[in-house]
Amino acid sequence: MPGYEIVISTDRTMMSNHHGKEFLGFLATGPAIGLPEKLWMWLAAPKIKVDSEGKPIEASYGLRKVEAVLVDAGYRAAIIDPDHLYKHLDSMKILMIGHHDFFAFGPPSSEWWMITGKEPVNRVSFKRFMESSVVRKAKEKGVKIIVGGPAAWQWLWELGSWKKWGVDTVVDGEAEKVIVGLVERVFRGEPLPDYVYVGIEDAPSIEEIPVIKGGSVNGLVEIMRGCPRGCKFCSVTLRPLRFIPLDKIRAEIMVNLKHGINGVIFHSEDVLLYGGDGVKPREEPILKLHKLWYETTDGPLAWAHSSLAAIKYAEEEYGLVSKIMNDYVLTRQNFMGVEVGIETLSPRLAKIIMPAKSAPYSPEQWPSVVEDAFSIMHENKIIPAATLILGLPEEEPGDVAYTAEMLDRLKPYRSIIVPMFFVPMGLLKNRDWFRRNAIKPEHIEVMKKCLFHALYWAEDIMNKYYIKEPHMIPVRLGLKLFLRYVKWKTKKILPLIESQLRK
Amino acid sequence: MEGGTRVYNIVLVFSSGASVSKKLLKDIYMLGSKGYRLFNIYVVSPRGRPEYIEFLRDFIQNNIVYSINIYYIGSRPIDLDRFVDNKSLSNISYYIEHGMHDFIEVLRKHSVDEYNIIEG
Repeated sequence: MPGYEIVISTDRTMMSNHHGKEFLGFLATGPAIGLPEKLWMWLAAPKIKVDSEGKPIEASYGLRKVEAVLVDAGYRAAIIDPDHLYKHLDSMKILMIGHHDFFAFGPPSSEWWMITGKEPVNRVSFKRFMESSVVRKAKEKGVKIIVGGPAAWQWLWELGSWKKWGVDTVVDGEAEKVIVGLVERVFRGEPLPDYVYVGIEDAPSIEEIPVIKGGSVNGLVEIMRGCPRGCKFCSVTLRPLRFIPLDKIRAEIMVNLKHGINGVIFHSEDVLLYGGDGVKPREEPILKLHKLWYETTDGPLAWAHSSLAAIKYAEEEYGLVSKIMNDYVLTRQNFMGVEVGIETLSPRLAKIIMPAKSAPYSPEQWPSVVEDAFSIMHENKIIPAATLILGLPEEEPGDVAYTAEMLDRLKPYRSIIVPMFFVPMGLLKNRDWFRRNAIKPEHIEVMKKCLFHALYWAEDIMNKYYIKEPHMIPVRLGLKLFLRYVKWKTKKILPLIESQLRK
Repeated sequence: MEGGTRVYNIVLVFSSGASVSKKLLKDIYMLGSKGYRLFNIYVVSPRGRPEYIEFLRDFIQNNIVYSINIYYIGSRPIDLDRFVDNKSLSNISYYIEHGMHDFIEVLRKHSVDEYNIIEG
């Protein structure tokens, strides 16, 4: 059987379906805590089912898009599990590697690394992959290595690894329109650029975004690209806004069904803005989108991201959240997960750094928008994993203290709130990182409140909603063990952490 | 990736690289206002590959709008010589860091009299 000339791959932390619970994948952003690394890796990123050629049944959506572009262009290209790369060593001319967080510089990896002083397992795993004998052999044979994905920028800070591993090209940005050109260069024997940045005008149009050819992790399908809110810390907002048509979304759900994946994750930075009127959700496209999911598959649904302002607006204007949950989602499952961004609860800072995050409400209303949205989600059994950003460039001590105070108002609502340290991205990508020595007592207060909130609600979520399936008992036990360890450790060393962080 | 009227080519020769990012950023925004959207940047630098990227990091990080392809040509005057000899590019500017006389000689040899000097 001839192998593939273009092999697309990544390390184990990315080549996994995380036991069908994508949220568990976040464990890979931290170092192994209280558990052996092997067990930690198994919890975060177990091996995925593959076919005889080593092609995974499910793979990261970004890799699937690159694969689709290349297959449509007529190349023998496929995503291959890292344990099966050796099967294609003879045929491989190009190895493409994608990642969300190659070196653990992104949020929240960098934060766990900073706090614990230990390298997160995603970084360890990626290094192990790049230094594996099969990748080294491929390089020795002259295989070109092209890396890309949302963490491409991290290579700018890892020039030593770039050189050591013989990376030929780093692609930063939406790759659909540039990747075939790079491949043509390789096959024509022309020199490759070291760095490719895809500007706004070279972002692909809807027609140029292909339908995936194989299953995506837990049924993730993209429903829109870009975001109209323009938050300064976010890279997604730099891209033009595009809504993926329903027929294309249906086609991708069908691809997943064909590969035995019946669940769907609607991927967007703001699911409720699908077909929206600027920052205002519209009822019709959202209902059509959910009806499409409901009628196409009998599997569960999750939203990748939603804005809190859209949740409040959609519910208050149309009762839309309740309608979606009661008429569709909760007829099939007992909760739905989503990631949301709080980032700060200070209206002053919100106005500077994310003036449209609260829209159509004013930045002054931001804390109440957050609280109202949390209440709506709680009532409708939507469980958010929320983020806060500490150390934003314009942040003042009063902003953090106010955030800490306002966090108390979110206590009654079922959620996980994760404080993350500022990482320079988006319009702020030229700004400095938030460093350990910049941590102030008010930051520690926010982190403590988030930790206690998470510990309380994690127990409740696991007892009533999450990982209830009988085959998930080992995972459940592993997580319970981890939670118990964190509680014990927190009690024991919190005073020490506080004093260490202040140094 | 190299053709088209919206494409601009920049040949960049530097060693210390202190002011490269600042100068480049200023100029691509100026060129952008003239309608150029894709910049091919050809680097000659004794810093080596990919170490030279360190001096373009600010430029890369501060650019949001335009597409950029960065190629490394080599480290020596002969590398620049071969490049100018082999490539016939229109819409092109040369940038050379102050004091890199051997490279300026190469450009003069090819009758390239217009180039931008970057302060070291």
